[in-house]
Amino acid sequence: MFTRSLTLLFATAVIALPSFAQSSSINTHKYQLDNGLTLIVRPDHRAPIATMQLWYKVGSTYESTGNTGLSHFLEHMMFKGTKNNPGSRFADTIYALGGTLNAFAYFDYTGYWQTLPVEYLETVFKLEADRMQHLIVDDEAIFEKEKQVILEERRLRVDDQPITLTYERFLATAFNSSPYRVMPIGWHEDIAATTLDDVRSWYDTWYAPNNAIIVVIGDVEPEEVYELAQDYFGNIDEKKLPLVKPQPEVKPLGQKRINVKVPATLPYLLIGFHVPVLNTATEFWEPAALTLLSSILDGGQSARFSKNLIRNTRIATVASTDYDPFFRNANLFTLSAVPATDISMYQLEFALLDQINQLKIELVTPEELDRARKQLMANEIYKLDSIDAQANELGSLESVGLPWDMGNEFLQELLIITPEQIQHVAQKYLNPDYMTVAILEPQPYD
Amino acid sequence: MIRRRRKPFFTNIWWLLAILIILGVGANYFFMNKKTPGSAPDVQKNEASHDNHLLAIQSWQTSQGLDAYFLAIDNLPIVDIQLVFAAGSAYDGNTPGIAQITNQLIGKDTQILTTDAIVEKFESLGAIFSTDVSRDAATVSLRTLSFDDERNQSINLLSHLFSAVSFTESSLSLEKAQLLTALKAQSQSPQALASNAFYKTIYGKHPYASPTLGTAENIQAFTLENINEFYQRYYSLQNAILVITGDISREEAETISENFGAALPLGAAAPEIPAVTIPATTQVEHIEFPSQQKHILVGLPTLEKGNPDFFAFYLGNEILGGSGLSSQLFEVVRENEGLAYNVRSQVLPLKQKGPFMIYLQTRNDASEQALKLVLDHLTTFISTGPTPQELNKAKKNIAGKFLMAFNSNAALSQQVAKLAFYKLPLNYYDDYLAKINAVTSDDIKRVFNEYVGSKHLATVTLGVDEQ
Repeated sequence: MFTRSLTLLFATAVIALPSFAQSSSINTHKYQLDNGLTLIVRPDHRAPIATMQLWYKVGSTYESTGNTGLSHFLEHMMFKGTKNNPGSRFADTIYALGGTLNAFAYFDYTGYWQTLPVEYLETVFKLEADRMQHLIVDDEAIFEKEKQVILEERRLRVDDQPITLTYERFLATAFNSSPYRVMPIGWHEDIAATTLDDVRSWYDTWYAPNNAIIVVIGDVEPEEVYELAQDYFGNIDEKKLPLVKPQPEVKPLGQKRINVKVPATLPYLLIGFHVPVLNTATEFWEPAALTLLSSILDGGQSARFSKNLIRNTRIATVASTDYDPFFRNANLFTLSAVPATDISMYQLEFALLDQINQLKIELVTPEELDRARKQLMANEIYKLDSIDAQANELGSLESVGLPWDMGNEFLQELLIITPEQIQHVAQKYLNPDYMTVAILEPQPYD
Repeated sequence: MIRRRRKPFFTNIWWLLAILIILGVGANYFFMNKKTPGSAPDVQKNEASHDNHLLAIQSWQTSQGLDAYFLAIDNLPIVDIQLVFAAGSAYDGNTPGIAQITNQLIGKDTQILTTDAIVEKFESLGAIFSTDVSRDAATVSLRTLSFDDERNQSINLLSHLFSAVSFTESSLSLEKAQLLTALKAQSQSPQALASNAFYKTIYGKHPYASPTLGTAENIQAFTLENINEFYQRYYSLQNAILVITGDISREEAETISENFGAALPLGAAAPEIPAVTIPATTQVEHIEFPSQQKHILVGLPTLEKGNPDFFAFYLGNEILGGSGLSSQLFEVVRENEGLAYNVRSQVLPLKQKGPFMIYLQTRNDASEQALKLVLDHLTTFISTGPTPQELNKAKKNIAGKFLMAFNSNAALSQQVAKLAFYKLPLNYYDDYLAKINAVTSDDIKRVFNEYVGSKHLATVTLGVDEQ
């Protein structure tokens, strides 16, 4: 039983994490092999299973104009077999051992994961090490079929989804020089024009131990997992990786606005402000202040957007913020909303910006700040209930070049952010003169 | 670090829409189908088994008559509470949407507290309060830290929501607006439209035919009287189960259950949901919609919860199209032909016969080819069944999932609630794997023939018709 009060923890150790969140950090082991491969292991003995994630530091922000969607395309081709494990043997083997698996491609990374009974963890290491070195990408027929699958994926997730379509154009408007302007799936015509050689060369260039991070969480002993990593990945040669250019976003010179007119039923508004992330911030506290600011506006039903815009003035039926400080490069602080019936997009935009303005002219209250912090602390504990959530945190941090324990350090920073600091970042970054606005204007279905 | 919150409907763009995964998950149909049924339970290593059961679930009835279920899990300082009422959309009657909006109104007002006060209190304690409606059930849930202050205050507030329940015009009009927005969001989603049309087609006049969200016309017309009437009829202790899981003692759980027993009126159990009539003819429905893909759903009502044929059907479905990258449909439709990103089959037992369905999306001009491929394959599957190798692999896979599918407090809470709500024996999982392992290829052929092959399948498509 845990009977200590969280309030007590607050009072006695504002800067410390709750004991179990901290013990899970202490319980996390990081290794680096001679060839540059990073390994992070966190034991979780609740069930006799383990999850293994292999992250490659390559994603859509590494791609060039005309070659968008390449990292995601490669992710699909990684399930097409090697010489030793041809065809679908990788997936079939994991399946027959009682495991589940999937993969993901995002702006800054591409990842592969398997969860299975812990006794078979070695098989996963063997298969992933093989796939890191010996993928076969030479069959035009297989390649063309997979291209069709990816185009179907794009139709399903983007082309037939008015909100996502709007979001795709919003990103392309908000960013001029930064590669965050393109969604990870890439443009339709770029996918269609991708060649077998493009994908093979992308694999040859980026899939190397010195560009990879393995995360294992489960019923394991760290030293034993380290042995596995040595055995299967230890003798893979490192590669000379291309120099990754910074590609920062150019300074915005004014407001940018677009309308998206597609058949739809719900109008939708997106507003983006250029903000720093942990990797680009000159002051460590600024991303923390932006995170709390986001929480003050949209950290639950008691937050300002819910209370003021949805319940009290009833201007919006949906209103949210989005800010993620864990990207490779500077990104956006985003507001999005759906207007209530009879509310114009102009009124909606005005109301959202008024909420931003309030943050600039008045300090947030101690009660709001306490509530936001309490939720952040509680979420740290709830996160320990999911090994996937923990593995995703560790892997994504390392993949964007931050140490895995940055999550804890950042949380401690969140606990000491002041109302003045929140006001400061609102004034400094959330400036309507330089925002990007996208409006989905529903068109009738004929 | 920040846990990415699950936001309503469609607002969490970064994580719901921008991350691409190799395999389409069944989430496209999450409007309809909450949990994949038949997933295995957990074997908690640190959980002392009572009477050698896999899950040491304890149950009792409170002095007032509320059925309580309890599972101690002591490795994290978390307590989950669920109140599950037989008050899902199947009980909507001639007012579609009434179950949904009544459930949404819980936690909005009490005789002394406003919405603002309620949500501020929960969130200042770090607690997560949520509600949910499916076809069979209406659920009210709380996740709280197990520290004395947080736990006691949040659970007391939860029980106050029932003991001092009060609905207001103001909250009703707000929830109507929310629901109408959700309906509009569905009406621009090909997945949701196709899924709704499929249920309507296969269930005809049965209550499962109507979507849980209801219809716009009805929702506009709801009055406080309607809400009070539905609440009083269905939110009673005779019509509820209470599930308490996590870091809490049996004694404390008993005290909590007595409090909820006192907070709820006695009431009466809901009547049985009517039996489902299997469609007597082959139905083909098409909805014209200007999407780039045609959405195809094929299926019919099949199994109710607790049907002993479930084990054979579930195993067969895994092999046919339930298991993602390793299913037959995945190979036939996606790997061999490149015709779909997302193709799968599902069986979702409900109180009464729940649906079996195969679904996929493909570009409009390939839909005829894809549909033929799926129907031909289904026919072959029913007549030949899986090979011994396929059968063994699937059994092995289910055994692995048995270990992993419920390795968290959150999943365990769901599991206990499912057993309790559907009146499955509390030792249901003790011989679960033995029952799976006993299934033969002939069993699978038999059940697929009985529930699918010998019946009339409905086919629903949505997209642009080429003819």
